[in-house]
Amino acid sequence: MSEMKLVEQAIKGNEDAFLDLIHSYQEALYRTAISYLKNEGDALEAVQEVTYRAYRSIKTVKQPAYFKTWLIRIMMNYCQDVIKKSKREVLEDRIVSMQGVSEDFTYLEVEEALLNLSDYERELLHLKYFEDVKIKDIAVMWNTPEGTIKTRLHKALRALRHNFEEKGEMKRV
Amino acid sequence: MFEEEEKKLEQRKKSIDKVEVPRDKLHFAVQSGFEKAKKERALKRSKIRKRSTWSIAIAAILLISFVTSISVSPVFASKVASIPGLEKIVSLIKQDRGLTAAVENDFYQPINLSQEKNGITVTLDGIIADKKGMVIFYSVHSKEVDLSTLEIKYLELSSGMTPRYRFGLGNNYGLNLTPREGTNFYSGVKTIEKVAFSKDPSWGMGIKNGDKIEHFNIPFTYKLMDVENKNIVVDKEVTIEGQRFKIKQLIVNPIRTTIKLEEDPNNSKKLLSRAFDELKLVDEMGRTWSTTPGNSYKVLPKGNLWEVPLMESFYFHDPKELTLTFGKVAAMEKSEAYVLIDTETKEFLEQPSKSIFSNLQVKDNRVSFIVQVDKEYDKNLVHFNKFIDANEKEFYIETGGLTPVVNNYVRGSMITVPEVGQKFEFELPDKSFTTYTNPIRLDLEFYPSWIEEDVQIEIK
Repeated sequence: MSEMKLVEQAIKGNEDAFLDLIHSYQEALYRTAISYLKNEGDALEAVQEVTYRAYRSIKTVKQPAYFKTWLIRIMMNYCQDVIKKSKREVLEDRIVSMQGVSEDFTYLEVEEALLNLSDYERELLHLKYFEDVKIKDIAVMWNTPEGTIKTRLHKALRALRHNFEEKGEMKRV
Repeated sequence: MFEEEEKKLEQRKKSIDKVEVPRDKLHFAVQSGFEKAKKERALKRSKIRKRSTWSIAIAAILLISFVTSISVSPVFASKVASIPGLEKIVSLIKQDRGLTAAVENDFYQPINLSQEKNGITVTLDGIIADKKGMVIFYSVHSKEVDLSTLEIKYLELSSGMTPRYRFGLGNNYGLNLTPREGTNFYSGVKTIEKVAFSKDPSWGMGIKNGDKIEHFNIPFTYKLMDVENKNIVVDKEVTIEGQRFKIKQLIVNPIRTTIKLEEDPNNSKKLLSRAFDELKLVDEMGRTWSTTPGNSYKVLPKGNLWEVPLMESFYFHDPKELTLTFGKVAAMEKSEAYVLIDTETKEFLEQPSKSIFSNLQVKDNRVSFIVQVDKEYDKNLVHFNKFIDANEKEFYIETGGLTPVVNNYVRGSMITVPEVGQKFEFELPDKSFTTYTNPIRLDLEFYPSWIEEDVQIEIK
């Protein structure tokens, strides 16, 4: 079955179709969760919760073509809530302890800068640079003109740059 | 234009792509999330069918109890359509199951009063009030001023001319107003835990616009909802690592649930601030109510009674079964819960066995030392608000704002020293003013020390 058909079936309430879809995107969901939450336990819990939420609100999917992004957005919302509820310091420490990436300082710097963005900006950057969603598609999904999305993307990148620079200055001092 | 930023983001993606995926566990996580949703749906169906002969009101309440934060229920949607101004606050409450249920059960009182000053309009949208407290929904908009350049300086609830509640920010601080995406509109919510009913209340707000602070004040009236609490008397004892506690009761009202518990005065350990941050209630369907971290408090400074408010109330959810778990409880040996300093010899006379304090210095009437906390420990918890001299005389340490000109108040500060820790410093009282006697004692209300045991208490 094609993905579109699967999504349509899932919306109608076909449980197998729903499970097939989630399993095919589970890795993408997990990586999104890791990118926000930085540890395996929390990321797995996030996947569980997002599966649950997705099943509950599957009927609200309006554009089957963007099903994957719809899922990713539920995940991002969930993660943002988790981050708000926990504390930033805790999160920053988790980044350091994350295996395999801890040597890369650039990475830490990006992570810190991302924490200082608004939810919206972070979501936008995530879709564009992590999920490789085209600006054109984001515009369709959010029902916003392409130009506006571009402007906001630039604003987000500028905010990111600003955060880098601020960080740089602090280090020099 | 942003090549460097884009490159960094791509590098980040690459490194996250390298993280190993625990495939089995992931598969299991999806399955269990799915099972949970299915179970809940089945339950929901059978319950509604069973009670279909009951009144519509009861059916509506039942329906509410199965709605969680992500979706908006039909009841809620119809309230939004029928109450003027409610749509503005939807995003603020739909994350909170307790507040959503309060709206659905007609506890929301629309106010919709505005005041305009120099192009900025503040609106008091509505309130939810019960016998104890109040939740206030307010918003700010402007046609002329960009909201993101404004800052909130204070929020205030007064009764006549008397302020009853004030949330203020110091001279150098303000809370940025972050407008909703794509709009020049901000909406906020303030929960006031305890405030008595007032006949002539008014909502005040200070907004900083450039160098100027605009003061808004909106008088309003409201009805006090006469509701019965659904308190649950528990009276059960629990022992965690040998420390005894008694769960007294749960105070359950429409906007708030508070757990009252008592520590045994004979316990060898002292409960620290934020003792019950991990406390949790779970019902028969796996729905969880957690505490608001940092909000548990001792009712009286010298008493044994604690109150632990939950983040959301389950008043309208009527759980059939409730199980209480504690997680980690912040506590340390009473015999070690202080630091004793001699300011003459400039040394710590006593401190906890695994001490996090070091580098004591006494210079020009200032005492300072370093507090080292692990990364897992929230450094914001580190604080001292008073010291006690050898004659049990208390001196209050003021770390923010103005120090009252009273002879038992001294100035203090807490700063972060990179790679060293937190540096705490306070002044000794001016000798021409008042005297103190060595040694001086600082009681610990915080410490990276916890007790934990896998205990469960059936509340219901």
